[in-house]
Amino acid sequence: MISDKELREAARRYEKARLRTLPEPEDCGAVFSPGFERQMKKLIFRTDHPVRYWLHRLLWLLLALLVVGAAAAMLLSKQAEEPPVLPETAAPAVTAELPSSPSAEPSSPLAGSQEPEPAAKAIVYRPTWLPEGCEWARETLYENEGMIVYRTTDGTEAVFLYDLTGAEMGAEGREVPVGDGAGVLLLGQGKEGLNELFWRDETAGVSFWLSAPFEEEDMIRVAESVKAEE
Amino acid sequence: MVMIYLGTIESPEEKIKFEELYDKYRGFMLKVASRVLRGEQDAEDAVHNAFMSLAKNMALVPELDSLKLRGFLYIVTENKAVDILRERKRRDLEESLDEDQPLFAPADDGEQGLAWCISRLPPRYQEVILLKYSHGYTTREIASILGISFAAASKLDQRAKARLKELCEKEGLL
Repeated sequence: MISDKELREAARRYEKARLRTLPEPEDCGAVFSPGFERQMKKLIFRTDHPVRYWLHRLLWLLLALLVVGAAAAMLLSKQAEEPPVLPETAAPAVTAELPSSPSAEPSSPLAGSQEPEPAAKAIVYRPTWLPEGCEWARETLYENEGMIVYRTTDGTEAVFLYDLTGAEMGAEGREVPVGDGAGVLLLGQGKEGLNELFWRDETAGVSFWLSAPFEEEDMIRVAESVKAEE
Repeated sequence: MVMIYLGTIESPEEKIKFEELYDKYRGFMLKVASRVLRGEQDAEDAVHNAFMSLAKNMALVPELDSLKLRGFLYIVTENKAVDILRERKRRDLEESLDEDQPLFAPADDGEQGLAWCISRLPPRYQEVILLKYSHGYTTREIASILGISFAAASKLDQRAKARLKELCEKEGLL
């Protein structure tokens, strides 16, 4: 049986013998890599100024979040500016050519707004009727155009776009009556199989586009309900 | 996690002590780490990890300029170096770690006594024996220094003593 006293003495003896095989600390001149020195400086800074260290970290984090947020806002703004991608149809029935008009660049983008905001031109077009359960989700309004997104009961998004410059929206599809005029309907040919409807208010010179999971009847009813808000 | 470690350095004295440790003993600690690890980078990592452990356990660090401190730094640095070696072995980057073999045994002075038997123990067992019997730390303190649970430190202590007893019997000391 080994007693604790014997063990203590032996452990001390061994430790001393082990330390004798190493030079004195002051004689252990060692050159560390710059990476190590940097890491250690950070560690010492943390020990000396823990609050300042974490404030620095927090500031960097906030800065990073700000940059990411700005980038996301720019991306959303850019996406909102892009015109809808029109699918090519295999069997066109009618070609609706909406008269072209000079396209204007948006001068005061309000990308990413979560609450309805008045457009700079103070004219905003909105549907005044929507199928039951359809709710406003978000909108992006520019001086000459706007995008309003609604969410349906199953979570699908219905997108309504208007262009005050009456920009050309050439699309091939079936002609359907929209109020006193006509529109072009593409069933199931939009993004994710959504239906699309293009029409134009010839008097006001405004072009419209609706992409939604609604039935043909409801697509037309939504289009006919669109009114200008001053 | 680092915040928890460094949050433990509260008093200005401990902060000064930590900086002095770094200034005076980093070369010594690198020498210890280099005995275990081949690569310079790995040895530096071991020293860095050892300083992290010291920051966490500043209250347990012996007085500056004492022999006890050198022994303590030796144990902590060797422990971190063995951790790295074990990690390298796990990733098949190192072949030579045999956990049952001592890493380094000083030349004995002809006496095959109990101290010699301690030197034949694997590093993990040596660490716990030295911390407990040469430095007088409790099992809880040893667990904190080695960064293991109390249960693991307790088991390590039992196994170390059992292995030491075996060695002593083999050498005819018991």
